[in-house]
Amino acid sequence: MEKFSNVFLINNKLYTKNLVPGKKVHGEKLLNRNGKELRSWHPYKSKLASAILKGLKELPITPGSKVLYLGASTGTTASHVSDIADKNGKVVCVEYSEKPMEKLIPLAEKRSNMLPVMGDANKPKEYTDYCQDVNVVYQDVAQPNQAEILLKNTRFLEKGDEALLCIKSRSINAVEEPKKVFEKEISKLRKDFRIKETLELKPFHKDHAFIRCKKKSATSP
Amino acid sequence: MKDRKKAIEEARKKVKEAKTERDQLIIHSIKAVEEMDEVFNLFYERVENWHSLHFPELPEIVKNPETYLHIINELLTRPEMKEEKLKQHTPKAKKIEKESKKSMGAELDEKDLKQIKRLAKLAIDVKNERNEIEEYIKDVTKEVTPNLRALAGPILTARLLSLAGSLEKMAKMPASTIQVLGAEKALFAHLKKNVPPPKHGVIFNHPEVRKSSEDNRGKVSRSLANKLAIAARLDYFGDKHKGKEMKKEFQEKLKKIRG
Ligand SMILES: C[S@@+](CC[C@H](N)C(=O)[O-])C[C@H]1O[C@@H](n2cnc3c(N)ncnc32)[C@H](O)[C@@H]1O
Repeated sequence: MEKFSNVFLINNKLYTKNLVPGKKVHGEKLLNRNGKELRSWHPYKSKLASAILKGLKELPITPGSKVLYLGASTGTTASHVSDIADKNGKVVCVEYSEKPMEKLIPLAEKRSNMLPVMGDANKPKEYTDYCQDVNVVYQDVAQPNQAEILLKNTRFLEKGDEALLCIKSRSINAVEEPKKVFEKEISKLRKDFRIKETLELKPFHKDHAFIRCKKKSATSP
Repeated sequence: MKDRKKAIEEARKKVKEAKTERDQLIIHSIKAVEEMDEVFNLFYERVENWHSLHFPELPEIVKNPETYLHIINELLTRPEMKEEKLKQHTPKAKKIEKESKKSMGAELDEKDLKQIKRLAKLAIDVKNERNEIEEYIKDVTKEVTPNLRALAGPILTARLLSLAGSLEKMAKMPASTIQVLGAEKALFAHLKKNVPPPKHGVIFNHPEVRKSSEDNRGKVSRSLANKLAIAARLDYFGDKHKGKEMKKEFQEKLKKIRG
């Protein structure tokens, strides 16, 4: 079954259509269905995959999407986002530490829609040049100021564009109840966004929430 | 997408920059280790001379500086040096106790000896801290210079970087220069006077060079230096982890040299 464009659910397992047939990214399985090559997508390895399995209603990333991906790490999830966005889409992958970047660069070299950026998501000016046409933001940085980081990056979105945000409760405050932490972060987001969905990612990712939100109106940069 | 090429190039450059900054961490660390070794030796010599007023026979029996310092730190005075307590430090416990009873050293009181204990304690601490930094070097070289590390081991890698000044400089050096890094004095003598050029600098510390016969040492050094030059470039350009492969090649070369 095609759950979303380029995202398939077969026997309770998720797959995306491989943008680069024959090439694996993280030791996943490849599968052939109706002349398409599919790559398996593990909920334990990817928060977006787990959010979809937990019932995400709408996926703002579609073929042709121009995605700004903050906290791309070695590109596990980003590669599936790149599959979904497809040839006409684009994924700008921002990562600030050099070690995962070393793996992300060769991945981007193989994927025609992927741009690696070694930069800090707190300083969107550093990568503005690559983001002129961005219309979705995906963020998974596991940082204490995660809501603020997203707000700093809303300048790339127009009214009605959406953002997906993974919130890790532990990294903000190790003692406070995860529920409270999520609520606090969500209330910060309300400044620029309307919250469309919130999901918990249990049992795939402990103390993680996933938020889909929609930009309210144009912000001044 | 024309932006993409630019992005990839920029990201590569930044990774490289980030790494070359980290090479300076290795260089400071190895310099600190060398300085701490000097400090340790100074302190050890002072403790040995000082305490020998009281027990001059001890350094003759316990030759290992660290063991010696631990004994001074824990069992300062001759009357305290009983076999039972010494046993955990050295197999020569019995002998020490015996010698302590008929020592020619002066009788010093607790107050006098305590000052020596202070210094012994400090020397032990310096050694421990030095070892911590060495562990750190083992770790960072794995991350920053995996190819050099595979060939030369973490400590020699750090010494080479320190002598070269940076990973960038080392990556740009011809193998012949790497071969004599650390032998500047001998090289200078060769140029000034009429003595043969040095066969090796700090790479003499590599086990394969060290264990080579006098006749082969020059060839082994040259072949190691060739590999190190390639490894430094690979590390600098952050491309591939070919360390294992290169080590194998080096070992095959060794077989040929040694026949
Ligand atoms: C939880 S991991 C992301 C995993 C990835 N999204 C996936 O599913 O494959 C978080 C990443 O964000 C990066 N990160 C944290 N703070 C950042 C910042 N301010 N700017 C850019 N990247 C950041 C970290 O280095 C780390 O690689």
